[in-house]
Amino acid sequence: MRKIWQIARKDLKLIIRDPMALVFYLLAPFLLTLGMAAITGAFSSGDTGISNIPIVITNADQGELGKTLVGVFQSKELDDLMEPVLQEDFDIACQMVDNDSAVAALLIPDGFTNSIIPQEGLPLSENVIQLQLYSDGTSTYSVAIIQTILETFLSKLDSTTASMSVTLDKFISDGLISPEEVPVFVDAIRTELVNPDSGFGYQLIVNDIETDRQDVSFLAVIAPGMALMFLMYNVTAGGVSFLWERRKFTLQRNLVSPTHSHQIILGKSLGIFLRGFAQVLILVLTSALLFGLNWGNWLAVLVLIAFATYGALGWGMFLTSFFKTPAQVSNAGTTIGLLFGIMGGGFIPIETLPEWLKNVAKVSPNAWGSQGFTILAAGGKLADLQTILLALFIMGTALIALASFFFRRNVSQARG
Amino acid sequence: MAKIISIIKKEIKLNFSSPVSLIFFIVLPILFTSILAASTGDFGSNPAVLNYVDQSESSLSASLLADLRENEIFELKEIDVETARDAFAEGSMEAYLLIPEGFTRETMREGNLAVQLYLQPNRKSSQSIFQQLQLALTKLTSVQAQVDTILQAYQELHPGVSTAELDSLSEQLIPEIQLKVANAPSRITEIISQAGDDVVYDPAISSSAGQLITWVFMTLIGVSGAMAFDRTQGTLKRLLTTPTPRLIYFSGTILAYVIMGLVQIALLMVFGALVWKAPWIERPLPTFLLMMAFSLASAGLGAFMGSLVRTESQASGIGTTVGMTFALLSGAWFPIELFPKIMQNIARIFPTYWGMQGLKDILISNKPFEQILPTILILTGFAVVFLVLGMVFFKTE
Repeated sequence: MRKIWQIARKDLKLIIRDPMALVFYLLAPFLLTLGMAAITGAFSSGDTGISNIPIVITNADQGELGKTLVGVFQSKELDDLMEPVLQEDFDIACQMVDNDSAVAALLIPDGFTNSIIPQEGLPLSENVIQLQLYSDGTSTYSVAIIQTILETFLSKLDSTTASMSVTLDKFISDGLISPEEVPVFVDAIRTELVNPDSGFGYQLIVNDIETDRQDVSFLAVIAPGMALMFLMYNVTAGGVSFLWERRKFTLQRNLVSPTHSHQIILGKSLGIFLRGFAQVLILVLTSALLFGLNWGNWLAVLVLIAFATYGALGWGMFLTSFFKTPAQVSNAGTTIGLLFGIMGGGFIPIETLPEWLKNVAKVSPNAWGSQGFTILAAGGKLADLQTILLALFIMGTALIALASFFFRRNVSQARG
Repeated sequence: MAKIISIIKKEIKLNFSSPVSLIFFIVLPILFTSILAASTGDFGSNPAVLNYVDQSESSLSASLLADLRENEIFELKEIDVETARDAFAEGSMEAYLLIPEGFTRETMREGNLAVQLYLQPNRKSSQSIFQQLQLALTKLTSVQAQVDTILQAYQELHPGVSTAELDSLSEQLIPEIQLKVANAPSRITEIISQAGDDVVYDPAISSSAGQLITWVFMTLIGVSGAMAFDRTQGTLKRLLTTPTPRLIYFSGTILAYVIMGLVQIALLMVFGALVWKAPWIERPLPTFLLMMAFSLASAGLGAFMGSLVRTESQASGIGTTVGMTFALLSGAWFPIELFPKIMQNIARIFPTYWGMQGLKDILISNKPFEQILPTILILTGFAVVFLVLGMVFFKTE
């Protein structure tokens, strides 16, 4: 055991003495966290993702609904989310979108109110007057938010008009009110019905907490996937050092000493495991301490990192044993690291993958690790990770067993 | 000219001397594009699923579910509560909605209406599901509130009407109103820039553009490695002892990588057009000019970097880091609109940002050539600056 530990310690010392390696293995996750925080806005405004969406509004409507809709976009509730600008000419508003000064232009056309609410002395317009939302098709998230705001507003209008027309038709056809009573009746209900705040309250409880807004931290979405992707690079690079030692005859010198080949393999593996574990832990701790990212139960997080590192170590050792030169391992490691990264949430949210690809992704420690981190962030405990830990353990053990088979061949060659 | 062609041939031969380079040149870009296309686009991606447990089985819950079925964001699937809890706990279920027993009109009137939504943390789809549910609940409660307002006004006009009669009226009116709301005409029309009716936005196209920019950029900044290799191996020194001016070597090396970049672009575009039916080759002229300017700018940056690094290994490490970082910060991996405003502005200093913008303007917005031209000119400006810097700082040893 002492020899295994000495070999592992030697590898760790080598990293500490090499500033570039230290940066890559230990500072990289820290810098990566800072980088991710920068692009996700975690340094400012509470990491809420999209905010201050610039929209240009042209209100050509003479009626009250146009003003009400403008008021919705200018309301205090949407103060952080929207940045509305009024522009009389819709063509100029569209040009602002084309020039990337705004993500969308909204036209409230003339007659919009009159097409929904009959005005005094005027007949209800027979044509449906539509709001026009102009965008350049590239800011899909921001435009989706604007659409939701508009749909909420319009759905209330539709329910108002439907309530009025259905009720009046029924009341008149059933003789519940006389035609003479209609104007009095409409006046009585009109103000209340067009009030955008009308409606019963309701509680929307998300994960047992009542909320009126669901913000998703972009940092939280990508951090676990990125951590696991860099872990794959780390263990592969660790494996490369094995081949370099063979090339520089360090391995051969070790073998002529009273050190068994399995002690060398275990010592190297332990060294790679420790630096992989440290790398992920640094990223997790940095993001938790600096940006308040919730990773969940800490004991379970540590255990999960250990098992994910073990699974990744299996892949690193397998690649190292399978290929002959450091360049081959490095290229294969980069390729597999990138593929596992994209399948494990390192580049895109994992839930967007098709089912078949999610199944394919289970060959990677990234997918299992990401699933584990999700469970823990949702409040899960160590006991909830049984399947994941077992899968990672089997993956690591099976791959290390395969690697040992190839290694023994390599070690025999080294002895020869 | 013959010397330039010889240098170009030498660089291309060297670059493809190992079959591994094909992995990064074409295999990985195709795999990444395909995975992203399958994940984000209309090419077989699976929509989000909202599982639901209806413990109330009331007319109100039926109305809510009917409304939710109309949305295009997610599919609604019924499930029993135990399965939902177990699957959610083990992380194999993304979301489920629990409509409790008390979800009735009575509790709504009392202001105690509640539903429980369970969402896995850190999922981008969570926001959409939440917003759709919020919208459906708002619709549901506002119809009831409006009917109550109307019936209250009716009672004031006709004080003799009984509560039972009002309840009966309410029960008759609400389904009719909901039907009318469901059949209401659309009151919003969306116009996507100059895109014609036949052009439909597909997020896969944006993702494919991002992948193309990332991988081609990585190929092009490989110029730095090639220059460092020629220096460290002594090839450059030997070459310069022949009557070959520096400019010829510089131009030949840059052109070799621009040609490789353009071939890579062409292969990826043809693959995208044939396999994923992406509109890559529908506007060849602006696409070619944009990609040419992008290639020159990126290769120019590579040449500049090549004058700063000492060894090929350094160039390779820095190149990968710069390539990935620039691509990430330019919105090639994640939509740039999700970044803070300051980062969106900082991204403008990267040629990858302008490459992405130009491709989106061509592929998604279908903007006319005169609106794409400024982007092409900016990239050309980048190319001039980087090439001049690369030439000025060019080192022979």
